[in-house]
Amino acid sequence: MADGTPDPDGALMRRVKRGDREAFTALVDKYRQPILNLTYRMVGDLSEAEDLAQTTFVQVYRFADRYREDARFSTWLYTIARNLCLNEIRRRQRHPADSLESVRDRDDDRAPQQQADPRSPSPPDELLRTELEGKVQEALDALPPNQKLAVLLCRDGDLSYEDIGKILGCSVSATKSLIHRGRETLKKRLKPYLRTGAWDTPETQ
Amino acid sequence: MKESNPIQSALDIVWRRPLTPVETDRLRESLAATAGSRDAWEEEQLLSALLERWPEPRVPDRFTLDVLEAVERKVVPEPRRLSWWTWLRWSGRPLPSWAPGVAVAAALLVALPAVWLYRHADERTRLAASVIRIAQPVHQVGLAVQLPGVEIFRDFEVIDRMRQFSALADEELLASLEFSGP
Repeated sequence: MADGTPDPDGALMRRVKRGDREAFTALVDKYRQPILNLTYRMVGDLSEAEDLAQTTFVQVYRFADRYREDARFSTWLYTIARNLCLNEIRRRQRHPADSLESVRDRDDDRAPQQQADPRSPSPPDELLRTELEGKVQEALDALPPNQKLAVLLCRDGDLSYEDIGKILGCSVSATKSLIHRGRETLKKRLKPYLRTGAWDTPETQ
Repeated sequence: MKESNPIQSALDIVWRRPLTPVETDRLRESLAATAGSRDAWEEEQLLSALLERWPEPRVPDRFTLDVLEAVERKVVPEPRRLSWWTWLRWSGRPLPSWAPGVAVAAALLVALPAVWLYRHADERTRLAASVIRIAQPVHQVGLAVQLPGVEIFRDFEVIDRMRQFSALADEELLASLEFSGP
């Protein structure tokens, strides 16, 4: 590790290299939520995001031998997820018809969740939340992929700027610059929504 | 981006996590000293809050199980797929890159002589048959027909294979030769 502190995930990865399934399961359980957050926000389609998150962990197991212990496991993991997401985005750009399918699927994905949760807010609040979620995703989708990734990694991961820089393949100052530009664009696009507090459910207010 | 700017330093922190009370106090002083920075700061805070409270997708209950099954399927080879190549690799040592070339060369070394032997034997059989075909009319009709060169009879196998066509072939040949005479 660069900062001298031992990475507990590194110890688990040593066991994964020897084929230890328990250690691998522990890593999957620890990182499945942040990786799914990232893939979902990057591709915007839940079932594709689940596939990408699953593939990320399969790649971890498959290429465990390539993991170097002088790097943080989370940095390596997010780099795999980043590459898979960027490949998917490039694939969609080559086949735009797939993107339309995904948008339709995304709407389908949301519908059952809205009905399933008995503690969900009242319909007008729910509408507002759904609209805001769509607006945030839209604003995020309009960012260049690396800016989008930088903003998301900043929000989701327990990662330093050095780590984010390694994942994005750029320096710390370039990373901060990406985040700054991304957030400036988001602020402009989301200005009308910033003060609505529409995320707030009765429990969180 | 200036690292020395306390507001920028606070931004670097707030992009990733909420400020501690000490950091908040330090920032408050900087904001009081810098006209117009309060609104910009407030917007940053609002965006951070918006992103922080953004609902997370629910991880399916079977996610870990699905990953483990995918690992089984894609990474661990199935027993029925074991090939001779895999068996060779089971020794634990990787095969050298020239191994496939050597295997092909060995196969050719065995196959080429076998093909040559087969073709050569076939040639002898055909020669024996032609001798029989020619010798019989000569013997019956008594016509002087041009026979194959005597040198082919140096090969014992030609004479030996004549029996495949007729049990008395060698005797018939002798009679034909005596008949046509020098």
